[in-house]
Amino acid sequence: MPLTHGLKIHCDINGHPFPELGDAKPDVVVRLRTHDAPALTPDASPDITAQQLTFVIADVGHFRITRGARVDVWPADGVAPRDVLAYVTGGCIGAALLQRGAHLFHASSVVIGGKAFLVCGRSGAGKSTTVAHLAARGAATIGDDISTLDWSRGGALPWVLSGLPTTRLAPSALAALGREEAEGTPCAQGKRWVKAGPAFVNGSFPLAGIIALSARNVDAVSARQMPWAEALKVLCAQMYRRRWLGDQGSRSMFERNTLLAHNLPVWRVVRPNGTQTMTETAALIERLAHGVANHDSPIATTTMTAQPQEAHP
Amino acid sequence: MTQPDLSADTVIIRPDNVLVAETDGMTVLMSMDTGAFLELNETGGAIWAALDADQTLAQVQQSLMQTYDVSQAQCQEEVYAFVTDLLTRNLAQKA
Repeated sequence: MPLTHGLKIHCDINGHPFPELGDAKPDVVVRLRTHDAPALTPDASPDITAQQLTFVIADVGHFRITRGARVDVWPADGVAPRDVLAYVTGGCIGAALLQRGAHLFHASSVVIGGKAFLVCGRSGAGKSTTVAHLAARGAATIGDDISTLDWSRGGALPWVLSGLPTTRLAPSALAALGREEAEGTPCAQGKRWVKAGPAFVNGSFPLAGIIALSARNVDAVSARQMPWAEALKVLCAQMYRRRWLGDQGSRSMFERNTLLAHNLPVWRVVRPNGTQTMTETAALIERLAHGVANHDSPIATTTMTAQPQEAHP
Repeated sequence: MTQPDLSADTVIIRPDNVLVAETDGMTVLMSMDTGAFLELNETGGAIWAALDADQTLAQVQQSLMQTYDVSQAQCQEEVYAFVTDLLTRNLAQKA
């Protein structure tokens, strides 16, 4: 049965993207509620305890996640189910995973040469678009926005668990990929919520590298492998909802991030602003990934550049 | 920003909410509360290590001067500057 971040999720909301469970017992249940909404005003900070997290989004609804197993949703009057689902599939499932002790990154993930790579970066860095371009070049995708690391298998490095077969792309990114700009449904930041397509694969894959992507006022795409201390700083900054972690969770994730920074290549990839060089960005990441995937141990260090090409689709 | 008032009798403690990673002569500190991140070189790492035992700054300087070939004046200058930086980033506290 396909899992979502390693979990079986039952959801009451019509149109949800989670795999159907049949008779299987769910790990997480998402329930729609109408009464007894939490007393949080829209401008309130999330209410966080060790076992429960409650947050409210103005004009969308109240959300409460308990013990990593239950998500209660009180939708606002007249809100579209897709707007509620955006928070269920994002913050709510993310919170449930954190309550279960999962190691999460705000990152998209891709499989190249049988190994998983995370693409992280601030909003607008182009994570989802880069992964979509990698998929167009033959890579498999395993998640968008939230990447879940599984350390339960032992060993020095974790595996990456597949998430949902959906992604959020700007209309311009869809067009650049030869897809309809109006594909899917609208979501935040003017993006479209679309199916990841046949490139998506369900499963788990050994983590082999992390790309910290940023868009700047530069002429060409470049990449360099970061020293461990810089890598650790980047990894800690890219944790999913770091402020939702308690002290114990923060310590545990810091220790895990330190292991990653020591044992994995973490690259800083800088691309020019705009979408004109996404093909070159994807090609450069593909080269970095193949360099690792084709070796038993991480490559020592790399500094690469790719010049923009004249013609783009 | 106000400079912290430091003296030879000041005791600096390392808060529980500061996470530490050390490798290859480099120490990294991160505040769980603010996310503030600081990379320490070997000298900074040595001062950080010396702050571990609830010693006064005078005792910290004595400890460092036993290990490093440095004058008392220079040692005090470096320790006070480093501790001031830690305090302003909430990566250390006065006892």
